[in-house]
Amino acid sequence: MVEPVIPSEVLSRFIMQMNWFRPSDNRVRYAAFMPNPKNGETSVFRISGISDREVWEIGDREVGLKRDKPVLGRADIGASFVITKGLNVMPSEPPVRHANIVGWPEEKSEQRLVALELAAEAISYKK
Amino acid sequence: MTMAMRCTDCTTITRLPQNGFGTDHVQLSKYFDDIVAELRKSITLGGKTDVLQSLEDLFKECSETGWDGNEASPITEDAYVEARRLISNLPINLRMPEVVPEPSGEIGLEWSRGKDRVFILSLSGKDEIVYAGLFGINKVHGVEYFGDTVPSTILENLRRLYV
Repeated sequence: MVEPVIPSEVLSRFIMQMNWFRPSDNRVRYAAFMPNPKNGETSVFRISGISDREVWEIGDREVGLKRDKPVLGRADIGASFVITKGLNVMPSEPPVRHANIVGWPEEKSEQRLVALELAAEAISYKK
Repeated sequence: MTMAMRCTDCTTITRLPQNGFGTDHVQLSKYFDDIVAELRKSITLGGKTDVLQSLEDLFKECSETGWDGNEASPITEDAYVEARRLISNLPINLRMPEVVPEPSGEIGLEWSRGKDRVFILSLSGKDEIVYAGLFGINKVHGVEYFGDTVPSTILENLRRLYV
């Protein structure tokens, strides 16, 4: 049984699109957090309690290799912040540690505002 | 005495109104285009040319499903044309945006002055501008109809970002 996501957890969003990083400050842009248009969810991994190396290994193995594109970076964000924006984080395994950010607003402008807030809060890492 | 007044509806000097007709209008349009082409060689308007080039590159790179390595929708031609039209209509005294492909197949235009001072527009080719912005602790979002000119709400938010 997969444990539910708790607010103190950290989530990582792996990025494979270079122009989702802002060159001026290397921060991730809002578009990186926007939901998948097919299912309305944003795919993330639960990374609390594992090393930085293990996080990148998950990205390469579960995201990059499976999609045949290199992982260029990631954006880490606290689950608590995601929840305060009215979203939910639902575990979705396999793969291990995978979860989805769900509950995005229907209204397009509000959806983008929330994505802007997540991007502003996230800590960005380029590989 | 002459008073200077802010023109809230003025968009750009690089676009000739399209409400003329006849050979004189065609001739005038051509002269106008030549003048604008010269102006674009300047640093200020050259920025606009660079953004339009970035937009074209983005359109080519993101024209197939899954361009993000996931299941992103392809950027549509309608969104591309509309983004081009909006950039062309921006006042020359404003900073140029950076173009951002959105997984929904829309095109984002982003102005940023730090992590929590960001304003974005999203264009889908449906004559509407979806916008959202963070101005420190203040936030805005909404939708505006996009006709011949950039709506004043959008321009006001951009000026707010750079105050």
